[in-house]
Amino acid sequence: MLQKAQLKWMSLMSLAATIISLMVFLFMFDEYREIVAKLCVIGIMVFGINALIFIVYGDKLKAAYHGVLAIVLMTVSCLTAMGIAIMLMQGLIIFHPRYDQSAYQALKNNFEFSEVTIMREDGSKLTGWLKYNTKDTPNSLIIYFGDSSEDASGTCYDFMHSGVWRYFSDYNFLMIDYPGYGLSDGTPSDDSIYAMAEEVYDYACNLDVVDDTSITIMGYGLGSGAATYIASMRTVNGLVLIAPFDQGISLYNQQLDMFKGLMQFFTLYKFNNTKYASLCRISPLILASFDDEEIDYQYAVNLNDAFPNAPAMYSFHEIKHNAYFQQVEILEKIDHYLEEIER
Amino acid sequence: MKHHLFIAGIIAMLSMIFPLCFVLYLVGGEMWLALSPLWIMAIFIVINLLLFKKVNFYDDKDDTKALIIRAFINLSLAIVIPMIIYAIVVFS
Repeated sequence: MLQKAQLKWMSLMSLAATIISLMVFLFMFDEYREIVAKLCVIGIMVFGINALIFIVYGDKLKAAYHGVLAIVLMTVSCLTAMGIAIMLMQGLIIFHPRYDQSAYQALKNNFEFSEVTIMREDGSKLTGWLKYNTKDTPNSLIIYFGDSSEDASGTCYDFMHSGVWRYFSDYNFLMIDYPGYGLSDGTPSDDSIYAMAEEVYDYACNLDVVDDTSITIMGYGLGSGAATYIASMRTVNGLVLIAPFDQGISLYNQQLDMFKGLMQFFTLYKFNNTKYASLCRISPLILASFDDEEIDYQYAVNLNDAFPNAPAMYSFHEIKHNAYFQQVEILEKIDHYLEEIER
Repeated sequence: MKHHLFIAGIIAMLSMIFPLCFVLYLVGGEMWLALSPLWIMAIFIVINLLLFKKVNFYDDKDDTKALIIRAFINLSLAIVIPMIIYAIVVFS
């Protein structure tokens, strides 16, 4: 039989080895290194606080109450660590920044695309692509806000190969990466994306090739947040929302159904689309699928109900979240809407 | 003092398990991955049971050197095993 001291050391070593091995595993992926660092900070903090409490109160307690103190501290520590982890890491639920370098190189060599860099007041930059359709005269513009895992280079390149551009041939097309995405500086959040959306709109209005009375905003998935916001804050000609959602909490619960009741207060990214939708003066086009596995159909309905001017909402079956632009019927609906608002 | 630090260490590490489960669920989206701290811990408990019960590094079981060797073996396994898993995931 193992002695009590041996059992204690055995459990400590097993716990430590488990945590170290998982940390090492996460550390080998670039995108999770920051998380490992944050978890280490949480662990050190919890250890420091517990050590302090035990050193101060441990000696004063009788042996019988020692175990009670340990259990109370363990419960509080677990809840605190979980709470801090949720606060620090919830960006993982909403944002999935990416940068498609091969697509970037391909677009660099394509004369139809112009790389756009917007310098911000704080010295940081936003980057993306402008696709010209007519360079000589001011022309209509579509500003596209992509989903949580889209970058401007990858999306423009994908559109080129999937034939999507055919449907937007009469328009200039601008897509700028969210902060932290592509080559854009910064960290993604609801506030930073709203600020970025305003800067992108203002930048587009000052372009010679753009008719600033004919700007259509298009938002897909996460981008429906930025699109709805800018449509409520600026004058736009049209608004196309693909797989939209009503508020940030819906995105959280779609990924991990635990942000209810008190847990709602842990969420940082509110994305209050229904509020901004109620301020919009235009009638948008809303496209949603019953079989969207990432954004529930009901969220689109909730947003639809929030617009004061009856939106044109179309519902589809058997379209998964990443397959909207592969469907001809979706592209035709957008094309038809764009024609209508141009009249 | 040593005993207090020991308990504080156990509590800190136990409280790390839940955030790790949370992160792993977000990373993989699957329950077997989210629960990996539990089954990996089970594996390490078995390894440590063998280390403490079967493998006698020194005659005196409380010897500090024996503890250090066991800790070193645990640390090595904790680093090497995930690297092997990573290599299999990436290169397969």
